[in-house]
Amino acid sequence: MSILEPKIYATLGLIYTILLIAFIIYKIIAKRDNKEYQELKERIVSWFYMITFFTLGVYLNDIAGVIFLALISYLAFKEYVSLIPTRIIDRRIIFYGYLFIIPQFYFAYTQWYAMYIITIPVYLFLFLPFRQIWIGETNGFIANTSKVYWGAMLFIFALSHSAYLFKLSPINDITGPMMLLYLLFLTEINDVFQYVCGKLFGKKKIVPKVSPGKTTEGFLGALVLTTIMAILLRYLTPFNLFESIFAGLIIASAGFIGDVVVSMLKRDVGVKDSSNMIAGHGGMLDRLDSLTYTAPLFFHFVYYIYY
Amino acid sequence: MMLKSLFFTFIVKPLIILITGISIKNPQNLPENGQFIIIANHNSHLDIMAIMSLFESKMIKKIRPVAASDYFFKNRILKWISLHLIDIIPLDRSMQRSKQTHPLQNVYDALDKGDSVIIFPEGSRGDPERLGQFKNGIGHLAKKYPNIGIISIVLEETGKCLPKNEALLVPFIIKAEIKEPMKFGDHSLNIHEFVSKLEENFTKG
Repeated sequence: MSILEPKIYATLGLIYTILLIAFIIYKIIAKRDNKEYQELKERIVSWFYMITFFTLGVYLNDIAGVIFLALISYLAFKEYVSLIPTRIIDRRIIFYGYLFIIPQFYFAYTQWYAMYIITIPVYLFLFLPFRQIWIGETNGFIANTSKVYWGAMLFIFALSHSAYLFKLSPINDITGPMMLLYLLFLTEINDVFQYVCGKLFGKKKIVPKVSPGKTTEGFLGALVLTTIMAILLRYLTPFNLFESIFAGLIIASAGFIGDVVVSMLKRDVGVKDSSNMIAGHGGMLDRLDSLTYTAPLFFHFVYYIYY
Repeated sequence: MMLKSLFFTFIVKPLIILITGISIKNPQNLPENGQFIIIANHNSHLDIMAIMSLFESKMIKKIRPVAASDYFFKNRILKWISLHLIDIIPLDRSMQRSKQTHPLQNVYDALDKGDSVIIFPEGSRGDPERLGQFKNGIGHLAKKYPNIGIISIVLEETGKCLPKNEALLVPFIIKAEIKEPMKFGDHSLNIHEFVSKLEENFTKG
């Protein structure tokens, strides 16, 4: 029951307060302009649901927490394989992507680091081509083996770092669930900061070919604001001031990269949103894009310094 | 049909949403009440489950899929599930030659009772991602009930999740496109032309 930790429930309270303020601001703007701004409203309401699901899923019980994070990986991987072009014959290879979610999160739960860190990068990598031999379809071998491997790396391996972080042994009074909250809150708020700073000051497009909506001003504004948040929320981590600044810079820049990488994927298949699962946000991948990069990089930063 | 409601509300729907998920195109074309005939392409056993899951629980009990009795009644467990949990309208494919009763008689009875039906006009499960030719049965049915709307539902990916003759389910998000209803009574076409029109409506983007 990590929700009973004062640092966790206080931070969750802070997040709900920010959301409430956002909703009040939305109401005021909507009233002033006499417009509905349907998408903005859906976005805020969906945030409320996502935060609540996350809180209930992760902070009541450790086993349920890891299962919840595995489920998020599952939904992301499913969205990915449904988005990219695949053939019927590829289904058996894709199945092993799903199957590897189980050992991956099991090793995260038991904190068996050596197995955790090589299961997908090495063993899935070696296993997929072997399974292909067995199926015997040489046509498209490289393409579909790569597709499944890439998806498993990004949406299972990379995202599973959140579960490993969650189960890390405590450092004094700092626990894994606190550091996970720190990572997720900063990753998501960085997205919001990028959006808001981009809307307010955005001029110069930073990656015009991939994400025409992203601007240099948005990126830099979020970099500064996220780093300030990283310093303020330092009580959730074992970091000193200097380390928290570094963590903020990692999360802000990695979050940006993850976001653009998933945009590349969506551009390649020709869609704007990965699905319509979350009202106002699009699909799972639209929400988890930044986390695919921030989770492993933040984790390794913590792991390198403290473990 | 208490069991059917429970089965779909607490087992089928949650499983479909969790395991595969359905992405619906044009959900506004889904009827919220009344009687209708649903036609869909058929590639997988998941098709029936996916279509039924599109509807609210209170409607599901009045929607019955037409299914071949030679397949669904082949053993006792499957027969019990088909009759009590899914509530299929059995279609005897072998009877078509004997001509003693009309092969679609069970479907007529269901529609006369006020139920809605799901029909796969291609006949049986075809090659995934390819639409087979519609049989004329749907045309006869449409002519007999010219004022019941026919709703086409185009399913994608079910044949990839669980193809014919495979036991391994691999999750993909099912895509369901709901077309605007068509009624036989709204067009002055013969059965053949109407079936072609249904096919055309089905395949157009």
